[in-house]
Amino acid sequence: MSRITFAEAIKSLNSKAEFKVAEGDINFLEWLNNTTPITKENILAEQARLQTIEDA
Amino acid sequence: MTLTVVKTTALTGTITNAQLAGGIDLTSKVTGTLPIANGGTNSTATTFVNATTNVTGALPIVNGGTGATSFAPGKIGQVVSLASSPNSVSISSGSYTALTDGSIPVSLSITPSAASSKIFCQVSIQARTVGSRGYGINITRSGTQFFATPEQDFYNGLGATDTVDARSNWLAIDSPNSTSALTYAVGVKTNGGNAVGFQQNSAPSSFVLMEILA
Repeated sequence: MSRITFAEAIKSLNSKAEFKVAEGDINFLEWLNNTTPITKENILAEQARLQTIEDA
Repeated sequence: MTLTVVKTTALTGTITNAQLAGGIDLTSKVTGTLPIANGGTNSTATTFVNATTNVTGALPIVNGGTGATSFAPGKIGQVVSLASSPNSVSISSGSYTALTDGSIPVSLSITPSAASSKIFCQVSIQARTVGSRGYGINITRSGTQFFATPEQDFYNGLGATDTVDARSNWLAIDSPNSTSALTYAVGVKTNGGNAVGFQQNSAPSSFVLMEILA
């Protein structure tokens, strides 16, 4: 079972989002090309949700 | 040192040039050592000419003279390089954005020693892609792009769930015509704006600049 990345979580919330994020630290997150920001809390929650599905 | 003339008959006084009109057989009639100044050998001296004061004119290049223009001098003026930290970063961007390790950009500064120099750039990037995703790079000099690839310069043509980890390398040459400090930076663009993971598995990116002298 693989780890769900921040990028996968962000794309799950907004498939058109453009960004740069350090996979080891979500605090290094930059939104690109006028993408509407998503809160870190929502990204982490989505990551956890997807990870649960992945691990099932 | 002296010349010794072997006499065949008793002589007194000085031998005149006229008396030598028939010549001297040097192979048999001369003994002793001829002075070096007269063409003799066996010198033990190590210096004969003060080259700092007693030589004028240009010494031929093949004999150690200077001023040669036909040989090629060294061409690499300087080398600067960096390796990013191995921190992985995911980038999703339909336009070029700075490649970083999360916070520190892959960029270098260099000050050419001559305006005629060229800057040779080597970029090495490790990336993880899933099927139908890829990326390209650009290199900017102090904000001006001089090298760019298509956004699918590296492309994973496998299935949607097939992951590929691969290192790719690019070479570029720039003619900045400058002796000012220049900043070279590497950008990436992902095809279709899809996410690509860079510097995966503790594999840093690297960037090398070489100043090539004219």
